[in-house]
Amino acid sequence: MDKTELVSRSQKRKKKILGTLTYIAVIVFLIWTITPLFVMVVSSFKDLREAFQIPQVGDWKGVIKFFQFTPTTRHYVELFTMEDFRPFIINSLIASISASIIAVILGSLAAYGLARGRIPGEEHISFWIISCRMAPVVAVMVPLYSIFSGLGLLEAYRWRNLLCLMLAYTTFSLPFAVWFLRSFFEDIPTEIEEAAKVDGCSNFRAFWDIILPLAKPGIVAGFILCMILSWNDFIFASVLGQQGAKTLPVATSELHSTVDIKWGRILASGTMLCVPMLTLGLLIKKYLVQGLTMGAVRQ
Amino acid sequence: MTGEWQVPRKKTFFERIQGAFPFHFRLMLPAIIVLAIITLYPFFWMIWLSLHETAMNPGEQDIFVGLANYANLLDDEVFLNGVKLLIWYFVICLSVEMFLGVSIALLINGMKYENLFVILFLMPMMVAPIVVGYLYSYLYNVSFGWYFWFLKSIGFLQTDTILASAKPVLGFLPSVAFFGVVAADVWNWTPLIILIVLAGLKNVPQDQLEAARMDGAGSWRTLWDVTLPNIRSVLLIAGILRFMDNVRYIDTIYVLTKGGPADSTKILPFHLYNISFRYFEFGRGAAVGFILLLFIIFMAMFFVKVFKKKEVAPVG
Repeated sequence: MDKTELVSRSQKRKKKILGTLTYIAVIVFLIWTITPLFVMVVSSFKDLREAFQIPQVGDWKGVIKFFQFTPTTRHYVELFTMEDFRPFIINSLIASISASIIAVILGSLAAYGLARGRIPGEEHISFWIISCRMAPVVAVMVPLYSIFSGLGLLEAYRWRNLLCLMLAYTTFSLPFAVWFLRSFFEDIPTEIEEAAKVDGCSNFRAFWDIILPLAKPGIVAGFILCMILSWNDFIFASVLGQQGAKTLPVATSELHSTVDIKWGRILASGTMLCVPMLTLGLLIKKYLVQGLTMGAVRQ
Repeated sequence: MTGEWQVPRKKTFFERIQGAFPFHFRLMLPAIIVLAIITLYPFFWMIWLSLHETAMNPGEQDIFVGLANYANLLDDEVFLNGVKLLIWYFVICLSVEMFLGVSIALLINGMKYENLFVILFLMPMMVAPIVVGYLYSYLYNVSFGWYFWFLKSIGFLQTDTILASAKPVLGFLPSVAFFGVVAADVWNWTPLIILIVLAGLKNVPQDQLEAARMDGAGSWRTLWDVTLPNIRSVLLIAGILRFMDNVRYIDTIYVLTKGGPADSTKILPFHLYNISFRYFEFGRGAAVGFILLLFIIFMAMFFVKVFKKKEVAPVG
């Protein structure tokens, strides 16, 4: 047998082993990523007695216990019969959708202005905008709380509280939308508008009729990302909307009282919180990196 | 001088406004006005607030105390502890996330099922932080938590609880409960690093990789000398973003430990939450908030700088 053939064969074997090891590492990581979500979804369909069953320490075969149960939708039903979660879901939807709409409309106008115009102090403006997005939630909330309570917006009226939430969510959604969409408009070549202007379009027409339709995927992605950010918020909602406009995350946290923790309902409500956003997130997977880094990293 | 003089038509009010604000600036105005109302005004309000001792009962007046709220922070042990824990939190979370994220991204880059893996990996990011909290407190539960059972079974966990143990790990690191919180954060945000690094890897110039291979560089050398330098700015951005969010979100800690046991998970933003919305000392809260904000503004400056530099030599 040729020597080189031997070498190449051993290299091939090495490559194969490496490939297998890679797969093993990735799959271990995958299991670790999926397990919590899997446990949550499956346990939310279990009766509590079954959900609380785990094997003795060291009893590896006992893992099978996790899969031995009769599925029940009890906890989901209870969320709507015993807890009346419907208004909370509606509150969540109203607050997050309205903030996202404001963010996307004002955001796309501003983003286009920032991307195309040569505006004095543009750098300072964009810096100010991004520091709004990055400000710690609690630090933003301290002055907002005292301003809103001065205006009487924190009293237990549903619409007043929803207005507070909408404004609070706009503090981070709008800056986010501006930065994200700016990176989007920058990717559209300027020649397109120039051609339109040569054909006699006004500045605004060129933006409205030609650029906006081109940026539609970005605007949709921006809307969904804003919505995920606001829908998932808990701290703002727990302080500003506590009285009259409980959102789904706040209502979930109230299932955990000092007396007892209603685990079944918490898991069910957690599943309801996650599944819609997971679906939406997967829809815009293509723009996720660009979105989550506010346009700094593009795919 | 012949020819007709044309009397310049007097500009209408509307035209004069148009002249003063160019088209692009006018597009930005609504957003700027709205943001100014909901962020700038509160910002100055907060500075004003931080100079006062706010009234606790209705009918009382706020008292001007100057810089006392700031000075008192130096004696506030929970505050100093919070700063220390925040730095620990950031450093540990980020290094674990970076290590895991970069390695997994390198492993699945160009793999056959890359797309499928990416879809599965990015799921934790969409989960609300508060749900992450409940999920982990369920998994860590002493009597029915699967993670607790698993960690006990492999003999990794020495203590009898996870979230109620203030025992420092290895003597000098933060508590066991702290690492419980860190694990939740790592689970939640490693996917972001994977996604960012993957995007960066796609933009590593192919010719450089080829040249390295031609020169006979092994895969480690190529990784170290070609790949990593090329994704450096992307990694930097990931780091800054993670720092922001570590400071930004306290939802998970709120559910998991509420800052306990023995303040061992009370990172600075959570202490701020307690000051403002448990003790309702808004003046002191505003002082802490202002310090945190300055810190964040400093980081944002850094972010913009990296962003700018990247635009000169585009990576993406």
